[in-house]
Amino acid sequence: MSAQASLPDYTLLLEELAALPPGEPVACTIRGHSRYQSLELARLLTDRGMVAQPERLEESEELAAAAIQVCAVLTEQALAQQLHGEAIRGIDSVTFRATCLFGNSCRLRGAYDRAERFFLEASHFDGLPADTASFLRGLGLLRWEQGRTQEAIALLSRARELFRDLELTTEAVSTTQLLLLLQAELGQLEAAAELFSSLEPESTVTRPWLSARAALTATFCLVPRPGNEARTALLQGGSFKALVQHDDELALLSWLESRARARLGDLDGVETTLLKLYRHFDKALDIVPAMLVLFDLLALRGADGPNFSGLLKHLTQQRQVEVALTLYRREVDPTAGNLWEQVTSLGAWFRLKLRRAGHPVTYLPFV
Amino acid sequence: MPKDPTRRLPLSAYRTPFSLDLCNPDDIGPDDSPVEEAETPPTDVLRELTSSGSDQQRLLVADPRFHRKDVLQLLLALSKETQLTQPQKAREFASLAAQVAELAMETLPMEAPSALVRAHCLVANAYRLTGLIDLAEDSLGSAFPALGFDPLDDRADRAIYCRTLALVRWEQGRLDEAVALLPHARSLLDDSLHARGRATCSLLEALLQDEIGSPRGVLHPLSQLLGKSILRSCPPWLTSRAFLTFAAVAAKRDPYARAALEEGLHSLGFVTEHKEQLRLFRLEGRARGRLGFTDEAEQLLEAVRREHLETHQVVDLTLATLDLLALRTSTDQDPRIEALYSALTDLPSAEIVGMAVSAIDRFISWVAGDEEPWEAARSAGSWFLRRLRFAGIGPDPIPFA
Repeated sequence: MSAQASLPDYTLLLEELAALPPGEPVACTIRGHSRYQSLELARLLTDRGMVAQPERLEESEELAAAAIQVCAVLTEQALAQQLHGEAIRGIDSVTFRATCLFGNSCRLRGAYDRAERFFLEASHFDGLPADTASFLRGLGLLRWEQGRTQEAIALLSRARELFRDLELTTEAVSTTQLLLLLQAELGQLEAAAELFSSLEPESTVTRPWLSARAALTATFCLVPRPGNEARTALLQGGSFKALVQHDDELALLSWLESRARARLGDLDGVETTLLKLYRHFDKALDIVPAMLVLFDLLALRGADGPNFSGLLKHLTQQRQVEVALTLYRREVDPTAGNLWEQVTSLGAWFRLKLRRAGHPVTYLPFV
Repeated sequence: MPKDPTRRLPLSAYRTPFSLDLCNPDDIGPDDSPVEEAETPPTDVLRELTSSGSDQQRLLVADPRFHRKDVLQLLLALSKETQLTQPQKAREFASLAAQVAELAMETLPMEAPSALVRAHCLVANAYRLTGLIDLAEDSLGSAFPALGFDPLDDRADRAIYCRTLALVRWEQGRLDEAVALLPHARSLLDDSLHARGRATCSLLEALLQDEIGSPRGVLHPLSQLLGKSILRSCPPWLTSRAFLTFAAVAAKRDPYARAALEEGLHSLGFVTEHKEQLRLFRLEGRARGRLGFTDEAEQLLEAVRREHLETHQVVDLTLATLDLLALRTSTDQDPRIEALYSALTDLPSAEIVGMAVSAIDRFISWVAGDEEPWEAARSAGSWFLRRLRFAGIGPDPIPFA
């Protein structure tokens, strides 16, 4: 193995790899030149891949692939020298992280089968406890996207437990927030409310989009409870939302905020906002949130009678509206006392059916 | 060395008259509310179905005569009963149940979805028991679309699915996922309705936690079960394995270690399947060794090791060898490594022997690096089992059904 060089040299090496001409296979370059065969470089490639992932998936994958290549060469060298223990563990740990990173990237692109293969590959390596927790969380998100919700709950719960044991508070909080969103999506509103109540306050908000989604979703779930928890959550959600800049994410957060306010009884401007959101999602061909917004509009206006037909003239996709109306009328009994729970169940059923049919549903930009 | 007052009999004395009980009575039973008595008993109806060839069966299952709750229940029960002794038959019964359930969704809207999930899980478990892990996973892939998520849906079905999947993941060497799934399965079971199901999940979880090296994970679920009557209705092999493991892990740190040893030995007395007895004797040897009963431990582990050597059971031999090495090293005895090595390397199954030798090398290297011998043996054993699973060549499946 090459002797450890100082960090700036690794940065240069990374830039060299990034600057290779498009046709030049990175794997061959790494194998052919010993200066690239270093664990520090593999770590740097993986770290850079994590930073790139939210916005630049292709770059993230290239970096992860390069890290995996470096580790493969180092493993061969270690085995040839019959090294054990720490030497191999260090390489395995980086391989594990890089493979999970690639898997998560595939999930973000909707390539779930490919993601599955990378997570399976990762499961053969031993990582540090924090890496294991991240692996379980990443796999849990994939299971969620696949509609395998029981596994998702199990994996996210275990990841949360591990992060807590390791006192990695920020990661534990993020994992709790993800679990909350999943439970709420499945209509398990009380479980979601409990998770929110168990959350420790965040000293640093590292994922404002997630904190906002969690707080606004929790608001909806907390409404039946006496006291001010729901309103407090709504205010929190609003302040996290103010930190978000991405348009699509803001639209989703506005939807969560609107339905939370509707359930709280703050109806002022809610319908107007929901109509605007429907048009936004419809224009972007984002059918799933469009349908979910329609369900909420139906709950507000009632599915029958003149109230809803007045609404129809604002909605462009007639077929979509008809489907939403049919489903709503079949599944929701407006005379029963729990209208919003029923609408949530309808949304849950709808999303699960789509997930299990292999359609991406809600974008989970978690890295 | 303190002598254990619970006097240890020689191996040959353990040919007990107790009946074999590897089988697990249905611990998360389906709804057993009374079924309206039909004109034709379900056994007669079933005979017609099971005595036909597979092509004929495919036509027959579409017949509404077979779309009955009692027929479904009988098929599932037969599959469960035959899982360990005739897994191929178990698969056939469960596959039939799955076919009937699929076609009876409208006729039996309450029973068919649950039966479908359970049937696929039984197929998966039967595949797992015969080492066909990929097919086990595929069968579970057929189960999960039928799973509900509504809080009012049958959580027991979800528990069965998660537990079955946990066992498949365990056999695949994907221990981190298995460790996530078992507690979740347990949490889905109602305390009052499914106490036995919860207990079996805890027992399995403890064994898994031992394999991943988490003492707390072993002690926590089992300390709540120790001395509880529910254990009498759990499979004796499982109770014995779990509590002998508890005794080893708890040895120097928990006042209940001795009670756990007694619990483990009590259940061992009900196991007559010889291969399982040998596994339990090894665990007993490990527990006694860690509790300080060195002579008894040496005697047991050496006897188990010799028996595995004679029958060329490389996997179990390796685990016994590691425990014997840990015992001798921790009590400053000569480990006699060369003799143990050469016994292994003389065996056939080059691939498994190669991994076994690597496991022992790891033990030696870790102990040389000041790792505690018993922990080094556990880690090396766990590494060995994981490598076997990744390579798809063993160990024997966990005999849970």
